Amino acid sequence: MDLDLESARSGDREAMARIVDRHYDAVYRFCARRVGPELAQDAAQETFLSAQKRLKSFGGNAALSTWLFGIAHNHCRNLARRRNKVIAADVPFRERDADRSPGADDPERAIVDREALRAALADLSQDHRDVVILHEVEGMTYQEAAQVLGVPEGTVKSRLHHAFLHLRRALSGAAEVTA
Amino acid sequence: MSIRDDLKAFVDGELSPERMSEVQAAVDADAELQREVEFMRLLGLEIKRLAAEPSVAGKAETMAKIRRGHAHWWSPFGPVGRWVLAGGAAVVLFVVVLPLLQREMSDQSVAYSRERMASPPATGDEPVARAVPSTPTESEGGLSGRSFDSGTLPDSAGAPLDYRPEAEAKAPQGSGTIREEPAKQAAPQSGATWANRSQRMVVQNADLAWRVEDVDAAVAETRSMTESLGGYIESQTSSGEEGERPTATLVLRVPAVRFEEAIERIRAMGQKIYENSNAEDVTRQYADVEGRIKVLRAEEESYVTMLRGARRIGEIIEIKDRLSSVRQELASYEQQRIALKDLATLSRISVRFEQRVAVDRPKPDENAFEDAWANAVNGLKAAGTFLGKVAIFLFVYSPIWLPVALVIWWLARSKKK
Repeated sequence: MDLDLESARSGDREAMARIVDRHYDAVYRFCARRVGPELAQDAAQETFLSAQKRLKSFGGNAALSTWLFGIAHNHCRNLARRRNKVIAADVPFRERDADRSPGADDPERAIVDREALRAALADLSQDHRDVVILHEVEGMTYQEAAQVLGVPEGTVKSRLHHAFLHLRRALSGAAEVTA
Repeated sequence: MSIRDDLKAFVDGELSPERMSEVQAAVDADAELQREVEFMRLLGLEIKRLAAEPSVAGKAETMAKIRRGHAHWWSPFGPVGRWVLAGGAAVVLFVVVLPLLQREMSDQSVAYSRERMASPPATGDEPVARAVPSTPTESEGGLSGRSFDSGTLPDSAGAPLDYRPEAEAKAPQGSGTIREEPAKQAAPQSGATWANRSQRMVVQNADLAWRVEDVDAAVAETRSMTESLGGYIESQTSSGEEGERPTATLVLRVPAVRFEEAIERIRAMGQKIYENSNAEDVTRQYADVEGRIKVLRAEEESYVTMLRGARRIGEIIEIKDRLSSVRQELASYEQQRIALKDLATLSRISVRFEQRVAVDRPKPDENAFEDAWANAVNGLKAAGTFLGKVAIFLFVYSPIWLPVALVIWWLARSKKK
């Protein structure tokens, strides 16, 4: 039993601040990959403020992090709409961000043409891209991704299958399987 | 469902055990499927590697906002209250300020006309000079030239807020109370204030010991006071065995702008045992840390660029090592920056309450008769209660003991005869 969660439910702000401390980085990165770093801070902040208000409704059926990602998912969608901002499809895989991870551009480690993959990912539908991010990047199981998106688990499985099918087709010309 | 439809779920280990075995058998038997499985695995890895890794920002601000709590819709800084305030301000502007300005301008023009009609102006500039509205200046607002009690550094109420990052400074001020406060509250605060609104960053601490009538009541009052000021209780310890004076020590964190107010309210709770407060100007320290972070970021950037251009394994390893140590140092300075900001935004007050009288203290002699009377009455009540209970028991168990008693009585009586 998460003591901070119980205390935060009964209105302990300090306990809620500790929850923020634990989950902020992951939620921020999730938001940044959805709406870009310009809006990510607002989205993450709104996520935790909403969570604070709605904490009593959290039933504990899912992990707290999954529940927070679910709120963040909705906020990101609404924030972009509210600010009339069109989120570029390549935001989750922008080059300048990817450059920050050491060795990310090491050509020897590349399995496929990165540019082609980036273009193929940007070409995915929003729904397909969401499941790819949640599963491949955030490392969620199908069940967790389904809880975040509010869809059945079978839908996540099917979307992932089709997303990978699309990527494979898109890369078939450029892919260089080096493994 | 074909094997290919489940290939991705197979790679992710998300199939039922039976289906997993089926797909595994099919993959083992088909080289093409094996290649597809391998490609999916590698593609998954590549997507993860390609994903953006943005630097986290805004954590401290979010935590501070969570600690302050959110404004209700009806509060002055809530969604409705904000509009009401804005509307009120607009009404005041149009109804009060604009007519005043108009009258001032009209007076100015009349005075100027009179001057011109009278004589060549020896003091021709006077009307113009008089027309300059005597608006409150900085000195009136108490932003400079104030003295500080007990020889401490300036209290710098609200100064840390000026160190908010650009994004935060631009953020909407809806639910925050602290952001509104420097302008509104700095002036009325007694004694301590801040010298240079734009640049000072001061960490304030206070250590108090107070004698009170009731420690529990004082603790409860302090808790509610802290919450009402937008702060929180960092820690609390209490003690007090029978015959001893109960004590409680609380460490409060209150917004810097409410520091003096918190101290005043604690002072009103009882009698002082001791009081010590201090302020430390960490402006230079903060600036140093910020500067160091900038330098390290630039360094990190250059290493990343070098890494991209590096081709030899040895070169790559060396650059990675340096990049790693730069990032570690950067993380450490970031933590320092957050800690300093936190310290300056929230002042720390340690307060120890000591009860005036001990628990279960010996009663004074003059109450001895009253005590004896009370004890006797209580004893009588207890005896009555006990006898009543015994009578009830005897009555309830009479079917058992009464025949036995009657037999004994009859035997005793017949023996006598």
